[in-house]
Amino acid sequence: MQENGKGSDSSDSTGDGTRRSRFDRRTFLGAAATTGAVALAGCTGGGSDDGTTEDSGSTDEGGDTENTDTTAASGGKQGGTLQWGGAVPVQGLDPHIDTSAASKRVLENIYEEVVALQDDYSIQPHLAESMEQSDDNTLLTFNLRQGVTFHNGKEMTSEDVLASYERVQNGDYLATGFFDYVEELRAPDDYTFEVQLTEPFAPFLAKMATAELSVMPAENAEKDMVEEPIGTGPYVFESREIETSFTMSRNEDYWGASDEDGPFIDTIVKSEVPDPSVRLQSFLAGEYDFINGIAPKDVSRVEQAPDVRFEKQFPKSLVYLGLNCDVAPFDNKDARLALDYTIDKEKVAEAALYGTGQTTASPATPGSPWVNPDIEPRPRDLDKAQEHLDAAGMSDGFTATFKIPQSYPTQVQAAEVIAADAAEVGINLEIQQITWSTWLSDVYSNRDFQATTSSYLALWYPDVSFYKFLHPNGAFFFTNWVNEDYNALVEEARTIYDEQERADLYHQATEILHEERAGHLFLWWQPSLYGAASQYKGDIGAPDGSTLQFGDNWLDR
Amino acid sequence: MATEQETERGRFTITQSQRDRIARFVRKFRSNTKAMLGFSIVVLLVLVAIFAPIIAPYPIDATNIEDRSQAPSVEHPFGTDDLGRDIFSRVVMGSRISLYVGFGAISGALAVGAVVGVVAGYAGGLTDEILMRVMDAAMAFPPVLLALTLLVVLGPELSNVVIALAFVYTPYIARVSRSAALAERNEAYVEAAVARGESDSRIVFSEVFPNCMAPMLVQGSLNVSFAILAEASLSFLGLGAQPPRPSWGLMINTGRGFMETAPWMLLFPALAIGIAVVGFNMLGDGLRDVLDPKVEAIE
Repeated sequence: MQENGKGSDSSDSTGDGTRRSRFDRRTFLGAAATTGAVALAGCTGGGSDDGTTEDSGSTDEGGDTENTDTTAASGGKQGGTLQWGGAVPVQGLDPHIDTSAASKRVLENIYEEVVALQDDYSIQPHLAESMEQSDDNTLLTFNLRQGVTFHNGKEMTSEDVLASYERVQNGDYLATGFFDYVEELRAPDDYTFEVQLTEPFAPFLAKMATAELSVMPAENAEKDMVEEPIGTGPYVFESREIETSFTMSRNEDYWGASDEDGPFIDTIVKSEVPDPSVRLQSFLAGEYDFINGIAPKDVSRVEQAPDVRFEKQFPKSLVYLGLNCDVAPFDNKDARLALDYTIDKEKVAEAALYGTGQTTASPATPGSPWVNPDIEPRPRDLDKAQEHLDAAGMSDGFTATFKIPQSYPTQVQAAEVIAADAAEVGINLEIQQITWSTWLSDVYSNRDFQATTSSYLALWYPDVSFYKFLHPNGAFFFTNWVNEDYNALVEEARTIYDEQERADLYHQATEILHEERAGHLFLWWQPSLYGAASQYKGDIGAPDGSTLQFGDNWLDR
Repeated sequence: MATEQETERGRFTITQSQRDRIARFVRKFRSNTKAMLGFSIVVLLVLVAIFAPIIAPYPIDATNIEDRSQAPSVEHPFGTDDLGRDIFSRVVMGSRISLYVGFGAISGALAVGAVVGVVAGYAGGLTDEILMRVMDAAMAFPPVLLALTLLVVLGPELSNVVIALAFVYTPYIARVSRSAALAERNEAYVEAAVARGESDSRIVFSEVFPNCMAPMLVQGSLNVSFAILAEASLSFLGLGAQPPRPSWGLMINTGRGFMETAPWMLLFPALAIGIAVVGFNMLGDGLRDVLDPKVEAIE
């Protein structure tokens, strides 16, 4: 897998611009400052070299396409208005409720969490100065930072943190399920916050680093839904016009403000431009300083455009082929294997991503210790496909509907290639384009499908990769693939804190996914693709791969 | 033609008067440039559709990523699309989808609409009121919007597109055939048939119906072009033909994303739609000129 990944990545990196070193923009802990030079795209955890090697390769090659200054470290110019052409309109503004990446992209700059994800996928204290974990891993103690103020001028204390957490614990919010493992939340004094777990539960700390457990003022935490976000972050919510624009301004009193790390830009205006062609056209015409959501097919245009920075943050999300293991024909393992053997994964990824992604046989983030290095996607082999068809008792192939969300052109392209490949052994996949809301109701909620495609975001912590989508109790389980051995492994992994020990379990779990041909047939990892004007400086993106942190970005004009 | 009287026997053997009529029709048709041009385009389209597998140089589903988005060349006269498929082959094969939907939908609409219209027009009174108000209600919706709604219910499939469009265009045919039947109702041959004691259904279907064919034919051929356009629109919106079928509308939808880098992906299917629509429109217009005695009178 690693070989494949590197192969495809280095082939595309000849022209993919520069992915520059990312600096830890929230570093105020002396120790954490050493994470500074971790290269952006690979963002490998645990010191694995693979990801970083890929990146340095592309940094050399892409150096001519843009400025490769490391401005973030030397400090930036204050002021200016950033015009951002945004791909998906901002949805809800309550971080504990809203799942959309578009909302998270702006809220990431307004709200902050007790702990924060770093570029190396480690989790460090953020609104806390330090944290301690008891030896049995059941008591988490956070010493909160003093002098942090909310955008309403009030100082943040443990009361606010406690109120935010209790809101989620007692309500029905995204992270509520994680509180099944919480015995008690405590605020013994103004600057101490404690979480007492019933048993060791490793994913809790990771969850704390997500917007689902953002800290909000106690009075807002009492509301069922927050409509005007007030956080502690570097940017203050100004205004928004639904499906038109979203504006935020610099937080003058940001607790972490510095000459090196900003925040610098006075005002950030996000204009909602959902049509990718219009967005790109307007950007190239100079209307925006920055756009996100560049279609892979347009990458070469952005690269060739003068005075434009092309940025790629890898990985952002995992795209998979979902097979319903409860209904014919894919309730039959051999039928699933037969399909697996007909698909040329490299070709599919190339067709959809124009060399910007990589194939995978593991749900774990590329380069992380959770990836089982011994498992690779099955190569295309029509003889084996036929053998499995024979074993399934469907020697002449079979027909299945293939429901594809039409709002994802890359998935439609992939589906066409897959259908053409599969047809060669008589597996007839009938593509049906459906809307995203139909996907959610038919495929996800009612599980009324045979085959489909979809994607996951933010898989930087392994519990999402292995539990949320693949364990029957997971929040996003829908392919009906159930395997007791697998379940036992990923359940156990949740209680283990030792990286190596935990990784072993995930490696075994990956093996089962592969051997049993689970209902998720992983297709590829894809990056976030951004375009920016050359005056726009600083690192674009955030460690999670899908949101944006503007804190250390600045405008040179 | 509408004023021509026919005896019952005369319909089964070609009489001298019929031969005259046909000859006159052919003469007028041939002298009408619009009709001839439209007719030639339609014949050409039909021939392309029939011989599509022979004309198309490449298999339409064969993806070839190495040759993606190639500009038109000798090997690929219309270029290749984003998955490396030959656009010329796909446009040629796409003619089958357009004609299938166009003819299929309008045949359906004619079958239902003509009966409804002629019955309503001949019967008059309450029957007419009920039938035509139902048709008016269906007509109150914009055609594509109504088809879209039907497809959401029926599911996005090509055969459903035919059904939906047949439904949508039925009232248009019904309206035209009703007004034709209204005019025929007071003709002497109808009175004669009534006097002979023929049954109503016999009069409607054997006497009146054939004489209403001309306006239906005109309306039908015009509506074929609308149906072709509607299919393209529906496929463009993702509710018509599903990939990898080479529907022109679907090809335009995909091509839209490549407008700046590979304009041929959009250009050739769009041209094909344009030609087909213009062809059927001209044929319809021409037929009206040829068949309508009033137009002749003005000339």
